[in-house]
Amino acid sequence: MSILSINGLSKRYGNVRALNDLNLEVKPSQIFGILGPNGSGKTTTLAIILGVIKQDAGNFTWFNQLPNELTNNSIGALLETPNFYPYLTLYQNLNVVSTIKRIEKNVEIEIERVLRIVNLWERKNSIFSTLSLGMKQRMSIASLLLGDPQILILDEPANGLDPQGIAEIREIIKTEAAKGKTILLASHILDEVEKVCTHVAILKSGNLIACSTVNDIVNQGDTLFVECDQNQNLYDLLIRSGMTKTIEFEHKKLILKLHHQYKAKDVNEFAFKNNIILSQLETHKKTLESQFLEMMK
Amino acid sequence: MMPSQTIKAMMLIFAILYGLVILFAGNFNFKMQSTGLDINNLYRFPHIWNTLTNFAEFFNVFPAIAIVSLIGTEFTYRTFRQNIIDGLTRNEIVTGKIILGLMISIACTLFVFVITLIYGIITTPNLGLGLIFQNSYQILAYFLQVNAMVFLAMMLAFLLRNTAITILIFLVYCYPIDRILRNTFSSIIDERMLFFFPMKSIAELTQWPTFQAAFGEGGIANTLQEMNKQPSVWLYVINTLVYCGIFILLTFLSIRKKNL
Repeated sequence: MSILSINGLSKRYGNVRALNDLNLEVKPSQIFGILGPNGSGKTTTLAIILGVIKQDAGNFTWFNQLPNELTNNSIGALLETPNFYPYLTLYQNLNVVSTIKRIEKNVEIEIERVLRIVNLWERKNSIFSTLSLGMKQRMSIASLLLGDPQILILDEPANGLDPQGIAEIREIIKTEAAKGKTILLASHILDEVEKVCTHVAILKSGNLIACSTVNDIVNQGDTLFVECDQNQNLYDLLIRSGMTKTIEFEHKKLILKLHHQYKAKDVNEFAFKNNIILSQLETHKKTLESQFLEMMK
Repeated sequence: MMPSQTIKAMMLIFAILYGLVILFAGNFNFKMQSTGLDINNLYRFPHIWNTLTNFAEFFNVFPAIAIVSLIGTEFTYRTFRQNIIDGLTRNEIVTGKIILGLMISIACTLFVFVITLIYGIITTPNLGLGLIFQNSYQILAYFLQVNAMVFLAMMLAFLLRNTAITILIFLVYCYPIDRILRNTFSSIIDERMLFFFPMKSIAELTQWPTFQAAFGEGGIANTLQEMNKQPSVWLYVINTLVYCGIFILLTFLSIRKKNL
């Protein structure tokens, strides 16, 4: 069963196509990263599935059903900037959120729990407008954790946070994920996405250009450096084998990129079968960031 | 929902200004024995209900501004958007504001009721319960009137999403524009149709005391009353209820269609 299923979602703002026929599926307990440059459609996607914006075409379902009161109560979300009543205190604002989320039991305990998670309990009686940007962002995270929802949606949660705050957010996400929750995370901080997410979708100009596990996307870009005493022979054999996406000579080495179904050990076995002994077989792993930047070219 | 400072300020201004006007107007004694005119009668039961609710009409702009301010703030700070994200439906958002509008109207009406009751008890000799509550239906008419103004302001606030522009358009429409439109159309359509214009209907809910109230029963009062014959107040009640329905419907439609 899918937690979230997006089918053919499209959205235009005047002449600008923000989303173009997006199809996506998120399964239970996945930590799903949504990456893309500014204007790629990340926030638009999240805004549509949260009901803030109406799509022009396509649909989406939560738990294989159309959005309804029950599905809304299963979601805790942070979209763009924190939006709370500026003249109310943190405690009062969370009280409002509790009422909306229909949290009836132990409201005070629940509010204390979430404020302590984000280290804002001592500021519970501060007026929201007096907080710094980082504190407002923490307040947003407290709000989305209220009621212990099954699904968390975070749009740039590290905005305005210092390195300690970013590390704390990472720990919160990991803690919530360990409980089996499903998490959607839109972020520019690719290093954080790589550390935290299990799956990732990459958007560019409203189009989905990649969607897979983080490992698969990162491994796609691995570069092999191979050296032997029969470089030319090995070069010809590898080209005929169809294992390589690209292959080239550099100094006395062969530099290969393999198709995704092949690994470095397959190259070693292939060479051995053809009576070629490799003196060097080195893998240079790409990061998600380098893969992402390559996809954006 | 806890009220913002602006709502509290508007309601306080309403109460203070209305109270001051009543005090000032009530001290204006004028009699003309030759015609039978006695202004003091307008401040005694049963006519005081008509008089003071008509005075209150001029201050309906303050509760209207209060609701515009609250809704404008919610759009500015995107709290409606956050409410949707947290699980509130668009219909619930509008329903919440309708309830708030009703509460503001009830507060204004209660205030006018209490002031009128106290003032009338002070100024009226030979009190009896029957005399006190004769014409008190005017309070209900006033309640409908202030509600209509609040719902009109609410509709404009949801449509325009900007506090300053909404207040400007609200004031411009309510005070000069509606009258200009009626004057323009008076030469084109039947004069009776002018009573269907929104501000005319809303304003005429609270009816001034009859001329008999000021002049006493007699020829001059009857003549003046005949010259200023108005349609039945029920026409205005029905018109206003229809307009309230239109304002509320347009409010629901505006928030359903638009992005937040």
